[in-house]
Amino acid sequence: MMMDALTLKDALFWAFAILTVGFGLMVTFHRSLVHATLGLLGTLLSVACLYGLMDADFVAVTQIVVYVGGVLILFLFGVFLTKRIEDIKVSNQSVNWVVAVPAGLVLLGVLLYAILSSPLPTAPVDATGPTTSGIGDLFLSRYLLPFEIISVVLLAVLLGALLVARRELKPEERD
Amino acid sequence: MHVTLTHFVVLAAVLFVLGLINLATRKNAIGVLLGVELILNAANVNLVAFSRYGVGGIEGHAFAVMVIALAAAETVVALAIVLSIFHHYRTVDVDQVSRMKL
Repeated sequence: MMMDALTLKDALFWAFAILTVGFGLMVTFHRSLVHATLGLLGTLLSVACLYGLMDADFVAVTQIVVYVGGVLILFLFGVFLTKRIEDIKVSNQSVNWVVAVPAGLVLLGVLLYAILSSPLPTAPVDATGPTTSGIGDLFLSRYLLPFEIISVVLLAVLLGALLVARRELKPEERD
Repeated sequence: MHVTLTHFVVLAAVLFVLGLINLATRKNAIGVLLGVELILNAANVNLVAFSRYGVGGIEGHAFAVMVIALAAAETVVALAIVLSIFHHYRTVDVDQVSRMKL
């Protein structure tokens, strides 16, 4: 591969990649759960920017709307609802460092070996412009069944989450 | 050196391993869920990157959107379970929650 000047896209990739990994480290290694959740916010936003860099406009916007707007708010909600218990303990205790980190590094080594020794295509296909209509076509033709199944799953999740999270009074405390 | 598919796949591998370490080390149930989100994002980066570099076309995007929808659903159910566990046990430490029934 020739060593020509860094293009703007390459520079942006490196910036967002460093941000993604940095925030990912924050998610994994920060002791405070609130900070870890905010690290997840950074990771999700950086990954959305990477999607934008890969001309995946619809996926990028979906990532921001669903993940940052929905899932992350739920996480913060959960963290703050259970925060009282966190104050009692020494921060948020973590375990198994001695086993987990070396195992993770070994796995990363295996993955890197597999990636670097496999012939991956190097040239991107020409950008085809906005992807929304293409994705919509796919969902309403070839992937209609998965699309419908997902809608049923979402309904089931809506009802199931209500059912599970509802505070059920025990018989003795009902009176 | 221009950015190629390899760069994106390596980035996804790093994210995946970070998520896995998070899964193994957190004791707090919500912290464990954060690791799951990292792993799902790593998978999504792979899907979109392969789609960008000519493997599978735009179907990778459709798959990524489905993964995002299912990840949201998973988070909702998991957090509902965590809140329910917190009501019953007054803790979200996954080491101490070892019984399925009360």
